[in-house]
Amino acid sequence: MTLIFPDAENNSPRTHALVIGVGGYRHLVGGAEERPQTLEHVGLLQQLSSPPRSAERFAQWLIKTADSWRAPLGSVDLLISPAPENLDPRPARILTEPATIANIQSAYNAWKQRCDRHADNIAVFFFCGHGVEKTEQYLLAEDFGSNPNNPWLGSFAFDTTRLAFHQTRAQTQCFFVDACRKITSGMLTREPTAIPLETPDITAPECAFDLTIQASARNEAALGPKRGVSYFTQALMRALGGGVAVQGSGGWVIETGQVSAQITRILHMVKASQGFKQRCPSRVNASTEILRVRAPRVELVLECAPNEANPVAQLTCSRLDVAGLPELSNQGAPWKIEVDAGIYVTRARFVAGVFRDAEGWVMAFPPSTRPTPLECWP
Amino acid sequence: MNSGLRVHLQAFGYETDYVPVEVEIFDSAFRSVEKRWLKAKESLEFPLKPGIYGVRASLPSGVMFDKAVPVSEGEMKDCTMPLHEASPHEGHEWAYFTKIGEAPGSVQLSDRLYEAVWIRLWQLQTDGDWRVAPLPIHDNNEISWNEDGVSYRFQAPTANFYALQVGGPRIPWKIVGLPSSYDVMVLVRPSSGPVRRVHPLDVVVSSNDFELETLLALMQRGDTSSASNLIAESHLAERLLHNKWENTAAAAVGGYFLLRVNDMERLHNWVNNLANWFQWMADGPVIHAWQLIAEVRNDPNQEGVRLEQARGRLLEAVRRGVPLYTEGLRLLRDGLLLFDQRAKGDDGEIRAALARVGEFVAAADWSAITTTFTGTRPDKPSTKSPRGKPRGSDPLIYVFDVPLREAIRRGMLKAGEEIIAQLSSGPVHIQVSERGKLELPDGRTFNSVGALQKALTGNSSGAYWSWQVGQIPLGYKVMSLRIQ
Repeated sequence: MTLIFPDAENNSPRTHALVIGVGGYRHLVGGAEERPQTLEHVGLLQQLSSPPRSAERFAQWLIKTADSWRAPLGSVDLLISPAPENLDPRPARILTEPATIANIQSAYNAWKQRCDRHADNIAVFFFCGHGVEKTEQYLLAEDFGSNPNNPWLGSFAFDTTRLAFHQTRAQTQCFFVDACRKITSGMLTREPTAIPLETPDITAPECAFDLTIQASARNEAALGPKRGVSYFTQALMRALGGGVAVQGSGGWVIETGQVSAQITRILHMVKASQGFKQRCPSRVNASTEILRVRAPRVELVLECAPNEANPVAQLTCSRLDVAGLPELSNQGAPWKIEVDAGIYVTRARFVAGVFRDAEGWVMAFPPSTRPTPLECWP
Repeated sequence: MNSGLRVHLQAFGYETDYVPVEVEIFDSAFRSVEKRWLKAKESLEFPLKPGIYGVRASLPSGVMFDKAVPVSEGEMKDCTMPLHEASPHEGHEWAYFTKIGEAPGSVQLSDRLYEAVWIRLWQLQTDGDWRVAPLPIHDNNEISWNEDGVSYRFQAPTANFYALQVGGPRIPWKIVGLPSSYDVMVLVRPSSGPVRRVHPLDVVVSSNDFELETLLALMQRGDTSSASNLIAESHLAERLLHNKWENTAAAAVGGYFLLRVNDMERLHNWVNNLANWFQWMADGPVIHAWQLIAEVRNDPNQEGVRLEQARGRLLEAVRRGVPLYTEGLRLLRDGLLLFDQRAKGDDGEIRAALARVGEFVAAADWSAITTTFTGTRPDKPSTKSPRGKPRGSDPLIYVFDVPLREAIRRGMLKAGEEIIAQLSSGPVHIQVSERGKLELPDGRTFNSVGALQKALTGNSSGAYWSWQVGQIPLGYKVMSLRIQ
């Protein structure tokens, strides 16, 4: 267990996170103790550079936003296994334990205990690494393949684990799984024999607010940039950081329902080519506020009609509801800018030629707004 | 208050009249001041104080339209939301409005990948077997062909479980569950994802009950808040409260929603009836099983009997086949996992059921609303689905490009016949060869009319309609293979 954000053992509501990033697979190709993997297609699995970065960045983001959570951050447990050839993503002062199955099990047990302290706690689970899907999703720990005759001993059954966690007292439970799915179910003739981290109790009720998102990418290139943060993690941080904010009674808030409803849209903004390929199945039973944020940033795309006016238009964009802010300008359209949520006046001017100057009003809603084009017809 | 906004929702599709659209009005601080569900071509006045307002129209598919509008004292300002821009064609609006998916892409059905793509209809028989049935499409008014998608509208012959299957020489066979409804709509369109990751054809299916389809889309996105608002404002509330369902599939959707939001009071006894009365449907027993599990969770004293009943219902669902809705497949899998864990893996029946459901789960597309999986038959899912044309004489129709050999086999064209293509450069004489190819005078050969037209005109816009085979337009002959 490596608590990078200490547990104050406070009995008031807190957000407790378990963050796991597995890029180094000790017994797979390129691993520190590589072993021949004989079972079906397990030998295809390789080291991953993105998950450790993603987990580290997500954990740091949680700490940075510690006071923004509805229940202030109570603890972050981080387990990371970097690939041997990649730089360790952990800052020098942080020494985390590797994400072996034993460490994951131990960290899970401790995290569950912390979550159990209060019904208003928020539980956050994040996993990035290799995953395999058959009847359910199996997530692979660093020591996957330690026993080549039964490599699944180094993995756990995610869906059953998720069902089991409902027993925990924390009524708001957020599970984010970002898995690289190199082995498809079609490649496996037998069901993996991985066990869950906890046995579910069929009589235990579901938590009141479940947000579970299971994204899976077909290979590492689709998971994220080499040695970079995965696309899904980028989208998740963008969503939770304000991308799906709505105005609540006391300011901008993030609700679980909006995260679920808009995560694929935000993924498309992060990496347009991933939007459809990596659709993110999500599950919400009821929506609840989990974060309060400042004025969210909005991606605004301005353009003119007809299309022929776009290259010669001089565009400006200025805030209408807040005085004293500088006017933004650009030569040519479409023009993509990032602005604070607010009301803007947009103008298109033409120095010469046949097109008419035009003006429009835009309400920039998070996460993105594409207003109808400015009418510049001759 | 005589000032305000008159919001007009603009759509053109014939089918989209009844698609619910969520309209929300925000003040200048982004606080929601009005939120209503309208129909896709409806207009409504919102009385408002003078000020600047944001208007957001959200389609069930998640596509949003935003506008900022200033309202002056005494002014009822018009605000038109161009919803039709979400769809490339009027005839496809229903799909782009109600179904979550990609925006129209650059891939087209005239691409080589989609040559000779076919669809066929499967029907569950009373003896539990699946058989191919003719697609009940009789004239071209029920089909809209475009390179970026072909849409069909038909009436299912009986209230039963139907499934559509698509495939082709380069397309793995895929099964898509069809909602039982008076009117069924289908859109077959190319997917822009890589072939190995995403199936190359996106098959969108819908009933004509757009309130229900919207509820499904909102559940799929996890937007339970908007779903609850929709229920409160639409006829769904009455249906949920009084069990006034037009068909079994609609009742199942209502059941899934109530399970999702844990509203057990409204489920009552009708779920038991749904499971008992409609023996063809696996969704009923799944919903009933979860209702029983929920009852145990609320009152642990009922554990013994209720859980045994729930176990029985899940096993019954597996015996019936696969649920119509993906939500049902997930609940069936989760329920079996729970019972398997409870029995510590020693319940042989549960283990066998889990293995059977696992075959569907492994081949399933979790992003689809109705159960969708690759496979040879609706009861034979497979992650290694075949490609090509099915053997035998079961009826099927071609989606876009018709292979020439098939046209010859069905007597639409004969070897030795001549097609005269009228091009801007003059007429071109094309021979139907003995080898089953179309031969140009310069020696080039083609396997289909679509490929030939693309080579001659650079597009597949349907110019061949006016090309002549004797006295008959070629388009007429191609059409007959696209209908039945």
